[in-house]
Amino acid sequence: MTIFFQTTRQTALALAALTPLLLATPAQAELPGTDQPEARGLAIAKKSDAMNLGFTNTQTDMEMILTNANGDVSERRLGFNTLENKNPDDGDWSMMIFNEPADVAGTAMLTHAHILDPDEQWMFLPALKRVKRISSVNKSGPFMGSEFAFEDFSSQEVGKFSYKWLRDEACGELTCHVTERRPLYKHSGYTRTISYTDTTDYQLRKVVYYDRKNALLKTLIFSDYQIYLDKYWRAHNLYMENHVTKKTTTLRWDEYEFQTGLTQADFNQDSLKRAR
Amino acid sequence: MSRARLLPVLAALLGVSAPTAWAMDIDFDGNVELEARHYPKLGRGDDMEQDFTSISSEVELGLYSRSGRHAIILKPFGRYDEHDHERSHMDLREAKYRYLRGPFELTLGADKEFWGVTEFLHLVDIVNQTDNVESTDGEAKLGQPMVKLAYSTRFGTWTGYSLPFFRIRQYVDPITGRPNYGFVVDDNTSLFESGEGRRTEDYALRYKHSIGVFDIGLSGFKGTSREPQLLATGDVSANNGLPKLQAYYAYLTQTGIDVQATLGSWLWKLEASQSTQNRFTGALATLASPVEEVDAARATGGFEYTFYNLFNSGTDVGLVAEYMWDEREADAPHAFGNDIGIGFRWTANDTQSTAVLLGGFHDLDTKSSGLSLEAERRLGQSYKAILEARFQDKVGDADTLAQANADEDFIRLRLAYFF
Repeated sequence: MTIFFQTTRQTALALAALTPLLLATPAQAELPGTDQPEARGLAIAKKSDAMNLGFTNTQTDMEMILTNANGDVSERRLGFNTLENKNPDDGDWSMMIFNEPADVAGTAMLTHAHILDPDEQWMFLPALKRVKRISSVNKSGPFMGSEFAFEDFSSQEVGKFSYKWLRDEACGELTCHVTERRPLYKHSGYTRTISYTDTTDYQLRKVVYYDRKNALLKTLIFSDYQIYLDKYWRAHNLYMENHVTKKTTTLRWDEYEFQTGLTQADFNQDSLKRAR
Repeated sequence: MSRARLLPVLAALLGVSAPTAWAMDIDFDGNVELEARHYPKLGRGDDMEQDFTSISSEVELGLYSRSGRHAIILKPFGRYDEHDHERSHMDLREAKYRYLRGPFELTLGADKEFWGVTEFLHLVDIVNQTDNVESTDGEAKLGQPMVKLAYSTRFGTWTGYSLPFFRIRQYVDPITGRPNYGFVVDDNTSLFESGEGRRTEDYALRYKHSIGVFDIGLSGFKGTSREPQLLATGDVSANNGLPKLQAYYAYLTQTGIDVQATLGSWLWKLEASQSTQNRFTGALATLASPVEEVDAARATGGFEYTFYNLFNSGTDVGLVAEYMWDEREADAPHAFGNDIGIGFRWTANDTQSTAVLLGGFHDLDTKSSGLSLEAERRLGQSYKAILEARFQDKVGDADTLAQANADEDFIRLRLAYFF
């Protein structure tokens, strides 16, 4: 037995789509009224989600910059492939490939996300050339030592949460729907999150996280949005600040490539071994 | 990992403007590692060392066509050990050409294949010879020359292997090397049941599929056993008086199954194998001993349970417990006839990826037990320190293997630079 599979396990996370998957066109259908906050909150989430329909697949790379309270910095680099699940009642498939730090280079993780059933996840450990099926229970633990938890990366399917609209308020130059979201899945590290979704393009601008004791934990800010294929928005800068530890993590995303020809065959255990 | 577009490099090398068809990506990465090993107890031979320093390196060069269809991967490994000339060795861990077409994947050349699910004992894993001088845990493997064809379907992946050359197991330097279990093996005297020696016609077949919470593998192998039977020669080493043994590689047929069920925080695992091979019989078998055909059923299995984000600390604590069984029990020609392995794993999930693994073996027949510790931590962005220690805790009365192991406790410290 070696220790290595676990060292890489800690770098594992369920990522299907961290990025807010929202559409450019303004909302057409009317939202339920402010006198129905639950229905209005759910409608906002559905609208955001529906606007990403048809993205098919994407490929991109991401740089992760970790800064502790003393200002010490460490960096990671990862590649991401995502395949849209044509079945709306099931989750997307994703492949994550670790490039830096160099000691974890070649480690890769495959996720088949689901909505009500647990996600299926496999990890490839290059030193042993071993594919290991791993537990997807780890939701609240830190991802690669960062301020992002596994569940922050997990497929953000609408059905995994309950919603409640709180208010509309100004957010920068835009107006945002402010919605409270509570996880319906087990093992979450949060009682609730407060998300700010703009009323123009229905993109996430900010998320505030409250821990299991309902105390303020961290804030995530999305910026540098770009539009692809005239339809699909992607944020290229995500800044997470932990208010308890004073640590921060910044994710900087490279350009996305859409509709690159990826198929289901690129998201199985055989392709996991070849990932690079 | 450094990654570059090779096109300009190729063009410069060839002195031409390379056509697009030649365009490819190149990956180059690797590590250099310094190692110190300390054996607290004196060795059985007069000239056996207690302290060893060593340096090793492994690099990987990958050339990939833009279409993704063609790949050439070279992964040489080399080690220099100051005292142990057998441990100073080189190996091509991988040297292969890979071609993808639809559901087919063809591999030509040296490669490494891992089969199985368990942690303490890898029962069904058989394609590669163990790199026996590299580490004592059996996880290091020699590159195996092969022709491999994999066919991937919705109902699982079939893989066929033709293995035309055999890699013999290396043993530590008979004069200085550690660990030494009270004998020396001269691998120049290795014998093979198959008349063709190292030029073999071994083959293997593997089926792998995932159904819901289950990951299932079936495997078959026909060829020269990777694990030799060590035979007494009657000779002793002129250097240190230890008995000289020779390795006999029998022809082996093995079928195996490996299953994992992933249920929340629980991973349930099982590997089982059935093998048939000829063995020389008797406690101190020689080439003159009678040969008999031996059928053996073996199994190992258990669970792995992880407490994730314990007390909201961000750390994980995992427990692994596995049982190892051989129908021959105490008569089995290895140490895992009726044993339990238990491991505790602590993962800090910090920026430096600190992790500690404590492991223990207990033989239910002889009551022998051993302990191991592995700890590692990244230093800065590119270095990693790894500490390993193994100790024989209790030695059962009739347990010759544990007795031999008792003098070979060791501590191993490694500092690796990755690029």
